[in-house]
Amino acid sequence: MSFSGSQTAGVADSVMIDPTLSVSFRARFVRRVLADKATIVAAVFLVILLLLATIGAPIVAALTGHGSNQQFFNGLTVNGVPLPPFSHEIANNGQPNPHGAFFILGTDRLGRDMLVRLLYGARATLAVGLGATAVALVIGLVLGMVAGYFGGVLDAVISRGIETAMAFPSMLFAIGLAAVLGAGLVNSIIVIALFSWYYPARIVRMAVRSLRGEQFVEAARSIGLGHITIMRRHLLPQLTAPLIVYATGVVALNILFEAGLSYLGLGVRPPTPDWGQMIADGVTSDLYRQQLWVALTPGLALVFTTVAFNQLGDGLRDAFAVRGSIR
Amino acid sequence: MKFVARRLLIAVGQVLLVTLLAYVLFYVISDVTGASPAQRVAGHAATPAQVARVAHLLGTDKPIYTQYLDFLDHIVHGNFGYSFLQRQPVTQIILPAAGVSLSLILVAVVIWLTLAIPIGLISALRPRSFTDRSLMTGAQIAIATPVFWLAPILSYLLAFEPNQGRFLGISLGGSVNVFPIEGWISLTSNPWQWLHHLMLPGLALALGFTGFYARFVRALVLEQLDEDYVRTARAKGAGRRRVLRSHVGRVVAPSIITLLGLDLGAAVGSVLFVELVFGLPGLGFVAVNSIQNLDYPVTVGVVTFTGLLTVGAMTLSDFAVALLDPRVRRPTG
Amino acid sequence: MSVEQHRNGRPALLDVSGLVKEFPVGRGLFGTGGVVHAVQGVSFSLSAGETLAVVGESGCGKSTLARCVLRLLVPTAGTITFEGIDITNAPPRQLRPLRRDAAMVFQDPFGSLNPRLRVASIVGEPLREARFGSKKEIEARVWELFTQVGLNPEHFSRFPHEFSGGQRQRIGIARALALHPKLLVCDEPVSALDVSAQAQILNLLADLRDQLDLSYLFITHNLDIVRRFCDRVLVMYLGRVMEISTVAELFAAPRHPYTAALLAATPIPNPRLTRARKRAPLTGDPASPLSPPPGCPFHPRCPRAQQRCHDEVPALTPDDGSHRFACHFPLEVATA
Repeated sequence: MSFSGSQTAGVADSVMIDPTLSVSFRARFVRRVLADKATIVAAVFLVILLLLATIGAPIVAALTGHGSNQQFFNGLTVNGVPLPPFSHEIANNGQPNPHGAFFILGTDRLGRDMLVRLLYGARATLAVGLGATAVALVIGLVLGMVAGYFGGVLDAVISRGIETAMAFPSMLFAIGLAAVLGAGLVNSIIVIALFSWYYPARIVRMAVRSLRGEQFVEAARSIGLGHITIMRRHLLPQLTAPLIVYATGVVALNILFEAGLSYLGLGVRPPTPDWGQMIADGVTSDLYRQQLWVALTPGLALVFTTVAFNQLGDGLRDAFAVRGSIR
Repeated sequence: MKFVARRLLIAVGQVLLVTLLAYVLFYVISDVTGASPAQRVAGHAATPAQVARVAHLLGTDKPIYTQYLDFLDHIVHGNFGYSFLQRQPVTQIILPAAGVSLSLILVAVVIWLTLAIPIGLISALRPRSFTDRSLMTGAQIAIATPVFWLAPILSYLLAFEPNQGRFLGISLGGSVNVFPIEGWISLTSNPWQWLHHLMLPGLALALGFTGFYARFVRALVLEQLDEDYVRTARAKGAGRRRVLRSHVGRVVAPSIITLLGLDLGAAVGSVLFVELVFGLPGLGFVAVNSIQNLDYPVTVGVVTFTGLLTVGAMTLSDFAVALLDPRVRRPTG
Repeated sequence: MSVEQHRNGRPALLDVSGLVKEFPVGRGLFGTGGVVHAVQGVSFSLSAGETLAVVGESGCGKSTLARCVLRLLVPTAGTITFEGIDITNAPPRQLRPLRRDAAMVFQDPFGSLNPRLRVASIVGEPLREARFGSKKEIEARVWELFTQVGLNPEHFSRFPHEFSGGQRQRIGIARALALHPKLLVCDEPVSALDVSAQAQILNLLADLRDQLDLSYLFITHNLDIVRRFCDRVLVMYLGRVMEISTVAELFAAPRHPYTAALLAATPIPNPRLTRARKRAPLTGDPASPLSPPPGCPFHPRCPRAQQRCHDEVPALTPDDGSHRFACHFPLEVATA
């Protein structure tokens, strides 16, 4: 039995349709990323920041001879006002001492070296920002996957849960929780994760819901694959791209969240340096009116870091060709 | 109709859940920290007997679920209970504070919409141009700026320094008072001053949202400009502006409204910081104080109030979407 | 209980009896739950080596039927017996023989393959899942399958998007054949392909049938394919069987008015014959499966409908025999 116009199977198939399509996803991705200068700058910045926070801080501390909590009595003017960047310590006569300690970024309220504190402060920011995001991603991934895949009552419950969680005034609750659990690094991570898991959850849920209707999922079921295997092998790989993109956005949000918490005194415990705390230091008792730099420097650091994460996310999103944003 | 009833019921459930969790949380605080509100009210020097009497007066000696049920009972009757510390109904504390916060949010929303929509539009109409890139970079920086930092910086640059006769270090030859440094004037007592005192805080609150909305508008408009229906309209001879206004606007406007609804909840956190820096006696300010003073009827009252607003906003926007988009409504066939 | 004669005298591979599948729609909680009556009492059997076509308009329930047979959906009522085992409500572990001996070929060549996996991985998945053997053994089998469906095995580490629609369908078929199935359920396997690819794939399926002694449950709406490729036909409408018969008998002498209308609507590439054809136009659209008409589901559109058709659901008659139909007033056997 043969149909008109048919050819022997096999002849037509040894011809590939489009050789350029044989370039893998990875190669296309790399090409797109390399073309995006802003994202490269952001990525480089973040790598440098990471290096500075981990090994740079102690190196600078050693080079300058200033500890992160070392208070310099002469780091303040005679009126007790901190020094601006590029200042020498003040000698007893009230004038800068060119042979004394030099502060590249000035001093803070207690005469501590701002540069060293800034570098050590990066640790808290990155640790909490990245840590909380990681936890939030795991929670959000699991819940979003379950909701999107199984649908029905489970989905309804989880979706309402997400909505309700978003209705909580997060800052107030975070303050309350921090008051209960106490300040500190781990507690900050927990608190922040509790208020950011719903971002990835929503994205994952939407993605899984649309993927679930695809025939290759049906095909997997027809082979007899179990639900968890399907989620792991067929759905999860499709989620990595959007997840990475949103992760960077969530990191940016969580960094600001963490700074806000430590601004209120609920983050890492002093005297461990932390950017949010340093801003608070610079703002209390209107210190910023006397010396703006104390509050300005850590704020600028925060802005740059957050912009870098956001830009990285944007660049990755364009490179992966993912649609939509975190909201 | 069933849809409406169901949605409302869910909304009520959500608010209840929020209040329940708030109650549990803040009750646990006093339990864990060992400090009791009664102790705080009675004062350091009080004897245990006096503290116990105070506790009885406040009702804190009752078990937690009883307190919660009393709270629910209060809600049904339209009040939020009594403040431990201030000896007045919580409603009397919350409502004026809410007025302050809402004024602040209102001013901020006006500012950020007025700025963001044109910026987003301009960028979208000149994609990848220098203007576009600079505006979007600015937007990115605006999003990344923490409010609690921006507020003092703005206050310094635009209020304090000019007041001292300087701007960015340059002498201005005399005191210039464009913006007040802090403080709150109520709307009823002096409208102009009310607005005047809210400009700077409003700006501080608005900047981050401006950046976000500018990017959002840009993305949305670009997306629509690419759509077939726009191309059809242009092909039929419609001018660019008309297309923007009638076609694209119709799609973008609802999205902005939905987003506004969702942002109400997010705004509360930033509002708090602005209030603290500019000395505005709003909800954030009141709430933070109440936490520190273990005055948790006030705290729960604030949480309930904001919870009601946020859930209300979400529910309303759900209804609005259902009304506007017939696809969402239940299949009748 | 269906008691059809088995055309080829071979045992029944698949036996479906009184299958019902309903889906609730509308938001549960308070709501107006509607129910989609996708399949309402379908019975038939399929012998080894046989190709049974299931035809009907969209919404008639044929895809749902296919998925019930493979237990991708759990039937609301009725029984499905495969190789003598009742699989209607069986737990996953008892479905292993089904998963091995029956497989599905999907309609969408683009959507039925995971775009992130290499095609070798896709075809090998059933093998890995069934613990077929070592990596090398699996690779060898995949190679074998590629050749069997006419693909160049050297392309097996490429991604689906690098292949044409017809080639992707071959990959889907290769995957279906992995564990030496006895039954292939094909859900409109060529509807999404262009005409030349259609011909190629149908040729392939025919060759495979001969080589591997396969049975097919072939879902389609294309009567031309049915005539050339299938042994028997089951005509469905709004979830019920209208007529079931051998292909030859159906085309020569349809008994059900719906079948006649379907046949009349099929274009014939011969203007003279087309003009000579009797017109039996179908009016209107099929009713929605949410609220099927009472009695015979076709009666609102049927030119021969009478009161009895509204009152009583026609049963499939005769009870045995190779040609059965569900109609109170069937067409007479034409003599032309």
